[in-house]
Amino acid sequence: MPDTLVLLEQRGGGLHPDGLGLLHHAVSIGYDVAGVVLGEDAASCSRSASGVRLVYAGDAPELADPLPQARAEALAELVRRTGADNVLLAASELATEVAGGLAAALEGGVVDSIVELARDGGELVATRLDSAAGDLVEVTWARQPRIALTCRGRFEPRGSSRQPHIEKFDCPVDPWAAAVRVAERRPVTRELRTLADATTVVAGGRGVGGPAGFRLCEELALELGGGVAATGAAVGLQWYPRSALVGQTGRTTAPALYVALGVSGALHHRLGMQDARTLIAVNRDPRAPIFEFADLAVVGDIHDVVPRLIELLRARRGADMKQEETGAWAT
Amino acid sequence: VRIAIALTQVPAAGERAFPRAALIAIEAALEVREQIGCEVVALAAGTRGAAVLRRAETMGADRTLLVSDGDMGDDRVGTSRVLAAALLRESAELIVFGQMPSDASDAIVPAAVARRLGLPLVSRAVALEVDPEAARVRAVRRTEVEDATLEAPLPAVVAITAPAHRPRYPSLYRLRDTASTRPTETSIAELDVAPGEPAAIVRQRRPLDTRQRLDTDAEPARRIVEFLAARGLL
Repeated sequence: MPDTLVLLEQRGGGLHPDGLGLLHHAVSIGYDVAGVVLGEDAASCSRSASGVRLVYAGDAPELADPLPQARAEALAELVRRTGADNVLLAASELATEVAGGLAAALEGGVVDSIVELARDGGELVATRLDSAAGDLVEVTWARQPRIALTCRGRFEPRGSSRQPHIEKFDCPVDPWAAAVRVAERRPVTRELRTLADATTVVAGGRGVGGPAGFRLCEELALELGGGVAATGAAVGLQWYPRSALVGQTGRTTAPALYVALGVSGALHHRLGMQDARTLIAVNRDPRAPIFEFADLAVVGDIHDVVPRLIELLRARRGADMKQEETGAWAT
Repeated sequence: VRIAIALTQVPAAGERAFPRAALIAIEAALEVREQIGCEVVALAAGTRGAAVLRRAETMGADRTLLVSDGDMGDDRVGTSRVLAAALLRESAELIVFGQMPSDASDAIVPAAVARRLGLPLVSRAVALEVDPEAARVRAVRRTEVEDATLEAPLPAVVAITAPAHRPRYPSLYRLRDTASTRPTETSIAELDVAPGEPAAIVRQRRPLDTRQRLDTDAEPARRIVEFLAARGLL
């Protein structure tokens, strides 16, 4: 029996690369790993999980909709049957909720925001991100089963020709765990967030070059699920509405991530955003003052860097994009 | 119909602002009350929970309940145990959590509570409608992939990410009228639940990598993606 289960989430007819990467990583640190695919066409999806010896495929009708409760119950049942010590999930909105239900079902220990997973003797060791403290914390689990939620994009799938053995499993799902009905589904319309709500802000300064540069800011903000800010200089030049002004005479914002594009970092602007937790700055001028306090300073032209960045972020979401419409600009 | 607001988010030590997720939960519950007319009970754990309960009361909650020694720290499973026990006593038809999209705890705890109570979970909800006659709740679940309209029978657990309106300000009348009221207090002993235990054992702690600068990188965009992944920001 495998000692480690990895949940593989389905995305657009295939398996999400984050889950596959985690699966391959778990194999590489020496665990006896089985993948778990839950949902419609689980068995046929499972075939793309190369590089592992076993994949459990559960396709009960209760698992058809992408909802957490039936998945948590099915996974809990599988942990009971296999006696697995570790359950690894690549974070997504769905997976995080599955982890919560699973932890309550099995009284297990959940550790989230994991950026590294290693094996030290018999012990699973995680390095997790404590964003509030700005620390990396190395932890082991106090309870079993150990439930691990890893951060997005941390583990890359590795090529392998090894084909898994696919084992179908059926498990009865209690009615309460399948009581939520999906009445309607439609692709999400991506919208820019307002500065008050945004946990990610993309700011444009004089260095973006004109109103067209702000289209680029908006496009990146949509991709990151955030909002757009502008510096006093850019607003003064009427490149972007005054409502987006961040700085001494505008709004103050303290998002988790602030991406400053073509922003010099003048004190006037800095006063409005200095409490941002993480700052990425892209600027052509290597002497821009913003580089003095940016967490990641990128010397470069935003017209080169940002389109490529958007492309990479889109590729990460892969299949999702195909079924998605882009919302109207919220200016 | 009774609505219980489960306030798991409390202000950090030395912080005066209330966590947005808590305000969202309170606002959403009060909006449902305005829709259908019902009682709203706010519930929190730990001594710092008292401040959030006070806020709920001044915004309009009818009653507040504090599990005074129920702060389980990072033990989300323990937190869900305390909340489930307290919620079971309130026998609410609708249990409302606030949820910030990027916070793992905000997703884990409601799911764990729903599991313990054996209730349907409607999470990442942006538009909430309660039909007391049909005993149903309807909400849009907004995820990175889709908007799904969900329907669940009551009683149910709802985790809301955006109420219809911005969280309201405390009313002066409520501030005056509730100046001397205190939350009803209970304890984990009274609820008969085990105390929390840490989920993880810390081996060592080190600060995140110091600042990085890329002057001439062939693929700066890729470095940015790696940087975002390493900081859990993707």
